[in-house]
Amino acid sequence: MIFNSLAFAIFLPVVLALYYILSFKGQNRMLLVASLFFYAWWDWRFLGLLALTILIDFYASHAVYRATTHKAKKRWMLLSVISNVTVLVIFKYSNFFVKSFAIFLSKLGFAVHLPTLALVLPIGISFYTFMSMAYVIDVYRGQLKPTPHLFDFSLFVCYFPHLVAGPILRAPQLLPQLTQERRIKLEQIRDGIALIVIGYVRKVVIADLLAPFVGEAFSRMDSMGSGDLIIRMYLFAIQVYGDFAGYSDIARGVSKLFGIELNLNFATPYLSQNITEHWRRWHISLSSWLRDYVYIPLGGSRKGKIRTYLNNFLTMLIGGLWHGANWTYVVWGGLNGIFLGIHKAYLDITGKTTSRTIQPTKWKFITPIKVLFVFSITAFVDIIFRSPNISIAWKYVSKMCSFKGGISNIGTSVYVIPFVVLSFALDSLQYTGWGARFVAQASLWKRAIVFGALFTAVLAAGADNSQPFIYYQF
Amino acid sequence: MVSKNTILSLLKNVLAIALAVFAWILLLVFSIPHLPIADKTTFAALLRVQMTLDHEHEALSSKPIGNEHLLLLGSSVVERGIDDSYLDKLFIDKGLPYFSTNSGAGGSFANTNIVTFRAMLERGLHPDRVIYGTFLQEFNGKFLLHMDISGQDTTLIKLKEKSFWNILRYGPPSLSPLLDAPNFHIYIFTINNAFRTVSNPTILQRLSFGENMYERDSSFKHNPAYLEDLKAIYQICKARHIPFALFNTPVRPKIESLADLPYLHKQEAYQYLEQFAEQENIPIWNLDMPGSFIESDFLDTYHLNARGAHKMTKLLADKIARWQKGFIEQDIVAGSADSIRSEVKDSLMRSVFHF
Repeated sequence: MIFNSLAFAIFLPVVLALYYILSFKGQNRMLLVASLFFYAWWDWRFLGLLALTILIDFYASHAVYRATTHKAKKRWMLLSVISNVTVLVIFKYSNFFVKSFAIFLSKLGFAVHLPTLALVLPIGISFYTFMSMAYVIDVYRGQLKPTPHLFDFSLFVCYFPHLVAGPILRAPQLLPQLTQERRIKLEQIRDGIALIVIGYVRKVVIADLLAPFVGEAFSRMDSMGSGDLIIRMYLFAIQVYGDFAGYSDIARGVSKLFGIELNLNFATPYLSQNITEHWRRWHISLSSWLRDYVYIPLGGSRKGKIRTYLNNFLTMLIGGLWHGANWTYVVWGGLNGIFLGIHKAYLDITGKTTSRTIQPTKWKFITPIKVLFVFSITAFVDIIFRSPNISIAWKYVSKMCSFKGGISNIGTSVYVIPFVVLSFALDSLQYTGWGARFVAQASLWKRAIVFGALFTAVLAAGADNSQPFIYYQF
Repeated sequence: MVSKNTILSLLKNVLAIALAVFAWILLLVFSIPHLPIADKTTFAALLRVQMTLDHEHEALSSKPIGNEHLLLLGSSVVERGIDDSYLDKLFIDKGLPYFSTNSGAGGSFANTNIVTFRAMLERGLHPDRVIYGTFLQEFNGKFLLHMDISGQDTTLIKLKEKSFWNILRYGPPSLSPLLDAPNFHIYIFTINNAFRTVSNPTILQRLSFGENMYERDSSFKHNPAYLEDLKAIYQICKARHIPFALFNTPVRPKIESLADLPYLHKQEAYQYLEQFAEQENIPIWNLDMPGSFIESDFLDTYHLNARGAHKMTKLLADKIARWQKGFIEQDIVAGSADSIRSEVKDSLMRSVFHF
């Protein structure tokens, strides 16, 4: 089930109505059933895979906790990691590796036809396996005591707002909220509705309306000039952001209506002043997961400068591969790793530091140029993310950088301006805190007028144009 | 169990936003000029009908009693290229008992015109004569710039009344074309009557008008559906005893495309049209006579500028005058491949060579 569907528009009020009349235990039971129904709406057969992941990690976490020796703990933790990675490899990466290996052999002169598996990629697999695996690792590290109830762990993994496209939540943050009786605050209702509307605006109005412009850059690349491709490079960056940040906002907003807080996943990444800050603000739940479970175990910044750059690069490479089984994602991750390394080297050489928080800073005269520069770099790298394969990405970049052909249809290009402005306006309101202040302080009718106008735009934009979320495929 | 206050708060918030949404939809549908109750696919056709109903109905009633109403149909080339107020002036000068309405629908094929025409008839507008202007690219099934509603049964497309319930039910889809680039472009184009009276468009008007430059790497594949749609319009006219005529609009002498294939298929395209006109014994006027239109008469690759529009309107008025006298004039455009205008041919030869 996707958030921008009629099915969800019926599902959510029914679930909320049941949730509001049930007792605490009934609420949790109903939430688990609703979450499984939400997932099964896509394909019920993959509930088995979800259940298998839950069972293995639940029992592995207890085995880790109960084990008396470090070796035994490690063995159980590795069992969990290997089982999760195996599930990912089989369903997500097997064909990619097989095909890549066949191409490699053919380059060496061996023409081989290796068998591939006709498998459907289970929706949300990268999100729930990472959550479930991290839970066992946290228990292994002694940072978490495993929950005694399989039911609670199942709800933690399956909770429908985050299940198929994140945020990737940690047990210490979500489990206590699920296991303790909740009191829904009135502010949560108010903020939740605001977040849901903003999320739909980002997804349906901004991302989905920009999607056709971006799509034609790939379907009609030969007839496009450099100017067209440059514009569409920036548009894709805004589209993918609207799509994913929109999903996260809706997920957080819906969750607030249940009295459950999910972490912020996007903190105005396109207002970042350097690439390190960008990754601190972009897909925060994945970035922090990679930091805690990949970068730090690799040695982080504790093993010298060169090793730090290498660890950064490897982490981003894995982050790229997490997105999908395609060399485009690997190259995308690698390039981001290189840019991060360059920035880190610059900081090391100049002795400058960068803020470790996502708190807004006071802008100087030079700040907009820095912001535009960082936005341009990320937009440029995102071309590879969007391209179906490396050769098309290369063709796009080559044509764009040839600076021939200009803009073929200025009128149409001008049309996208309101959506770009809307995206940055929403970010500015978030960055400065004005948006949050308005939601907190404005009267009900003032909020209704503003959010009513925004939701009218959502209804109009989505009336006969419904696009699936990009991050569902991951 | 959640407290009563929480439930009330949720209901209050949701209800207030829902009410505001309804209010916004009502406000927008009523206040956006000529917005029809339509969706993305029917918008171009029904916008023109709504416009006619909104103000041209009143204008029609103020026309001299006894004068015949002459309805012009076609794409943006007609919409832009025939100045109906100038045409009416020419009718007065020539002593012809006509007044005209240009209902060319921008960015559309003939199937849009069927919808427009049928909806006008259903809503009580009965033209005395119908004249349809065709353009070369409309015969091209590979032409991407036009909206195609051929997948639908056009008899089911009706212009709905702007009633409270219709707006509540169809309000969001009616607003959706304004958030869709091609439809928004058509909206601006149409409500400004394709800027046909503007001699020197400003940058904003040019952007609103769109660039409409040649399609790079364009190709040609004859689209038989277009002719079928023309025939359907003719059949409606025939059934209602409305005289029907066709005219052929000019193409730009110099084509700047690298290899714009449609122009090499000009003869093939018009041949089908002429066969139809001959078969039904209806007038077909060729306004694309060699030397009639020069480069400076065009605003872009396809459309005439205000000066060119006056020129074409004048040529059309002459043809109508002869039609009024009972002549069924049939200008034959198609012939040998050599009859393609020398400027176009020369331009294409150079382009192909360059390519």
